[in-house]
Amino acid sequence: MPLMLLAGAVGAYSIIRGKPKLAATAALGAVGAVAMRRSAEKAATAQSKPNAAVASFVIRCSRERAYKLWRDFENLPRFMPHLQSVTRGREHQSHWTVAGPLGVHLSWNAAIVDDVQNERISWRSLPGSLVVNEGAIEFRPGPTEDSIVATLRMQYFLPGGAVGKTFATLLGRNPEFTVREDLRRFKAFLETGEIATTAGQTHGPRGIHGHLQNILLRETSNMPKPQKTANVQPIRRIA
Amino acid sequence: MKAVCWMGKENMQVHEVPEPRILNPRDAIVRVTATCICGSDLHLYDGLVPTLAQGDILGHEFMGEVVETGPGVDSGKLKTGDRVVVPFTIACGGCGPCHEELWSLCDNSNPNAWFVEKMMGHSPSGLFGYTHMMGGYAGGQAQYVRVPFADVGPIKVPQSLRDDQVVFLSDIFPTGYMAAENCNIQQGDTVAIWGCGPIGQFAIRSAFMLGAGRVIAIDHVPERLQMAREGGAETLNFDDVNVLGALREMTGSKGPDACMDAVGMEASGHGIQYLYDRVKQMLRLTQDRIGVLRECIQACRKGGTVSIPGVYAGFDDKVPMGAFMNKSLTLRTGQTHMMRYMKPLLERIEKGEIDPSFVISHRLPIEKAPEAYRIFREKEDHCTKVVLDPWAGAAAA
Repeated sequence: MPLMLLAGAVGAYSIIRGKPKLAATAALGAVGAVAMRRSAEKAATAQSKPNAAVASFVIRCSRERAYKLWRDFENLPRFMPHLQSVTRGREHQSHWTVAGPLGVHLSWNAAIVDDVQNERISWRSLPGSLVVNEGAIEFRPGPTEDSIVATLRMQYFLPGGAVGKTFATLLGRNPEFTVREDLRRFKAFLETGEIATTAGQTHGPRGIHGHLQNILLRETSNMPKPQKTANVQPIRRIA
Repeated sequence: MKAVCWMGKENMQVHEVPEPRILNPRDAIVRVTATCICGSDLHLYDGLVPTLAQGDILGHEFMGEVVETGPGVDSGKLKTGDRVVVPFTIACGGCGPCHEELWSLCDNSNPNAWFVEKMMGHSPSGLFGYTHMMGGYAGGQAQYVRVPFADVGPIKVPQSLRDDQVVFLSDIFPTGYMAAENCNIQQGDTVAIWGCGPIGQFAIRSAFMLGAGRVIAIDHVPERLQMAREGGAETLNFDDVNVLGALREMTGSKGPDACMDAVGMEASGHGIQYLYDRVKQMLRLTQDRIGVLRECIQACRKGGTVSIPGVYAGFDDKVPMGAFMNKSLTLRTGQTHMMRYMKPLLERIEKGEIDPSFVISHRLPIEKAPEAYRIFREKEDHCTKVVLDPWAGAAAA
């Protein structure tokens, strides 16, 4: 639905501005959106398929530090920005909340199923969860004395199967991409104490070209939030 | 504040934009006192490098005074009031490549690494004022700039040296020096350098510092060839002579021991291969015109070294790989590993061994930036290097 609105808006804009090519593209987009909704309805009835993804990075840190950061699941949203929060529950359980597509929040409970200190942790959602998923992180010795190799494996059964994935992809959140970016941010956080970003930096007038580039480069969906929490007002500095 | 914004191909505009603010703990804000236009900015000006966005602030050669630091900046290394030159590559200081002093290959400073990985397999470091695949960081052709990982890159400079003398430590002096180092110069070697722009000029002087016996510089802009001769080079004007023939003659058919491409993706030239590249580039079938690179490979002596400081962006064809392989050549290149060179080169400036300000042809207020880009591109008015003053005409507060 929002796609159709977007297509409609672009169409209207291009007609006003006299850009027939763009209008035609927008019309195609609207047709596409309808078709996609149809296929979504169809797919929703089909059995959901798993989305497995794996990523691995060399990180310059000790296995102890990496394990410690991951083992406290409440840290995960720092480098997994699609996670709203993870809170500790009873024993080895935790409560996970994600900001899902279209502003819908999804949450589930998970439990640690394997935990070897400084080597690996794996967890799985509890039976009855809406988002059935499991994950595992493993830390092995790296190519140099001062590095490790971290491997993250995730498997999701997204709600609505293929549809879920389509929406996730549209939002820049397909599993392969997400898992790799999550682990990349984990590495950055361990190596530098922060995750590089340009979100909120100054710039000149963007116009349509500038905004479109931001979207195509996933800077609107994938760019980490600034991590300096103090809300400092920009001040006119003394020249 | 005022900032030079890229608004489209050949369309630079000076806009009033919000001042930068600290976003991450290790950021600093620098009040820019001198900022330059680089030859690589011209590739952006010409719209030839993908992933620039309308409204981007350009500029990666700048210096100034630290006016604010984030809570994560190591105050032993950088604090408010420090006068610093900022390197154009952004490095975190904590990853494997930074640890090996391969600063321009930092793993963590490019927030759009995923994108460039698709094109190149891996991501180099983030850069100031460049394309979004290099991070899309707002650049330093502005009155203020945000500097990430501020306790790693910026180098403090003494008050005794003028901005003019040290600002080129931000890029072109270290880049020319690394390009010469990449030539693997042995005492008395002959080095041929294509391109007598600012990088070429510093490369000529650096090659002599590293022991070259002879430098042959190639260009067609008279004042740049003159500047090369002042640096001690012999010169060839490619409008007048066949460069390959002349080099063969000058070296007794041996060929230069090292050949440097200080031109990059917008090489000028003559003949059929130049037209072929030009048309393909116009049709967006290729990003780069590689005429100079072809000549470097062709001219280089057997077992010699080809060094490329010139910027290339894409996937190029008609690279003479046959010559490259059969002549056992070595190719060395890369964005400059800035922090390896800034300190030793600052020492050379302090000792008076070199005054980098010789390269400056124009000093202009920031408002004149659009005009400056144009004359620099057209090489009008003997334009070799432009330094912009972001505060010219601003009322002192």
